[in-house]
Amino acid sequence: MATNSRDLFSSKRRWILYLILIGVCFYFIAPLLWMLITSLKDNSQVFHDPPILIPNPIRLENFVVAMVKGNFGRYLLNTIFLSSAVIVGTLITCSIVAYGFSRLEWKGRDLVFMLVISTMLIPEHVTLVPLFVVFKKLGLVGGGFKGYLPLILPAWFARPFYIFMIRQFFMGIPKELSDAARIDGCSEFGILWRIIMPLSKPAMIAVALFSLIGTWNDFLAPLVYIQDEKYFTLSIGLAAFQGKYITQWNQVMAASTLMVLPILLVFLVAQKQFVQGISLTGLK
Amino acid sequence: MNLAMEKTSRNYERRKILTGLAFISPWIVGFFLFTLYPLLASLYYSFTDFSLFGSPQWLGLENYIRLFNDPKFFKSLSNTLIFAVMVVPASIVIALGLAILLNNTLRGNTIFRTLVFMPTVVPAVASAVIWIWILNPQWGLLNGFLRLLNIQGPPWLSNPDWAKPALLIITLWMIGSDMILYLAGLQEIPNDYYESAALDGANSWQKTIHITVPLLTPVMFFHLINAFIWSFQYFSIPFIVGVEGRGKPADSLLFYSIYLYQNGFRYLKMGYASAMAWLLFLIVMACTILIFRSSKKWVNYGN
Repeated sequence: MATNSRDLFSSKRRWILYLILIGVCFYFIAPLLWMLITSLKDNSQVFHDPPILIPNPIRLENFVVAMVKGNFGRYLLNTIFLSSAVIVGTLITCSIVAYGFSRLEWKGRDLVFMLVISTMLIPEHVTLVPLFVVFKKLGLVGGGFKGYLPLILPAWFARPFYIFMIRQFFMGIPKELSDAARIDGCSEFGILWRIIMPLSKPAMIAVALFSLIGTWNDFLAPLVYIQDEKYFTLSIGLAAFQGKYITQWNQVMAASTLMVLPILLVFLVAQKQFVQGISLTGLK
Repeated sequence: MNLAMEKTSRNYERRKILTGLAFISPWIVGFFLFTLYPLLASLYYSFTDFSLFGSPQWLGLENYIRLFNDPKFFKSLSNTLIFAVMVVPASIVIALGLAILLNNTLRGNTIFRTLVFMPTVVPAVASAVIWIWILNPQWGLLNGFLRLLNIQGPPWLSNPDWAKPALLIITLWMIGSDMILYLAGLQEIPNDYYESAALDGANSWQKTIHITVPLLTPVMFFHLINAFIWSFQYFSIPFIVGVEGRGKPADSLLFYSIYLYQNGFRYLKMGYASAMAWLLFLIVMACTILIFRSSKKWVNYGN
């Protein structure tokens, strides 16, 4: 730990620091608290000046409305299904590809890897129209579970960002481990499966978390591809709900809570792995 | 004999390449299907009139000429640039400032870090919806709070002059992941540097400017490229905040990616949208190259 904190230790400065920190944290936490508070209010408390900080009476009905009228229970299940399909595909294909870019040595490898990295710079909007046209022609836009394929398939062909993360981790595993297995006649795929993967749980957890949050968060792709209301994800479901019930802020906030709470809980439980994951995406 | 050995070693090399390619084959297939083909197809579409129904009709440069005569296109481009100029420097300064603040060995530090980081996992649509409510001019939390201090809050998202500052407040709320990068960078700076500076009588401001900032320029470089590319694709939050992708109020939140979406998927002008997409691609490439070029002058790569 390297800090220039020593001269910040005088107690007066420390108090100033705490005050700044509390102000800063208010900015970061108040919106989430306000979402929760509003979701528990009845109409008369929602529109009140000055704002009411503690709801009384507490109204859980808003959540019932969001579930029934807004269909958010269904959207939640849809989003969980979609995320699972994306996560499984990402973990399998990106691990295999990352192995080829880190544990195997072959001519041209690093050049190809540069290409992988540079494709991350291509904005999503650039490929959107032709991909939509193709999926539309294949009959995969619109109804049913097959309507999720445009969102799931790209994840089964190794996305660069996750290849990069897993590769970073694989490179840190000592070379001797694979060499020993190779001498014992283990195939490359066997090495990946029996030696590298069991050692890579932290990276797998981090990638699973990232891709869960990514899918939960994704708005553009579902907006373009999913047209049947029954198959909405939470993202487009919430957008539609907010558009329809624009003045029912307690219900809109209840719906938002249903979307935010699961992902926030996952984050709080797995915070450590998550932050470690970010350092995998960082420099070097 | 020499020849035979050379042959086996060449075979060995070839086998290694084939194994490597086999392992990366999912990416190769994905690259052709989901990157290269659509990239080239959108270049082709950009020279055509294409509405999804029927086949593309060749137009030559017509779409690009129309773009340069389209005031809405320039509005979306200038909105995007103005917002990028607001958000990129602000996010670098604030992420760095927060990291320095939270790198101090204060009690409760980990809680503060968690709180700052939490908004980054909140989905964009939810963030947008929550903030629309907070920034509600009449009943919102922020203006209610300002009224307690006897300040009449601005109309925020319902006024074209205030919409971008409001969007900036929303965007900076999600700065936690950038802060983590700076925090990681800070922890790699050896303490000796600060100790010898202290011996020379430097105060903490001087230490920040002369030690911390120069040593963090690689993080800033990474952040700058990321933030710039990202700001050209900023979509979800302005889409929701600007009322179903209409760029409200008065086109002040009509960003490049939103106008592209409108053309492609509302008006089904797929050719026109593709021309915008390719211009976006070129702009992003050009900016990335420019930032890379400039990096030699200001990024400190150590000795």
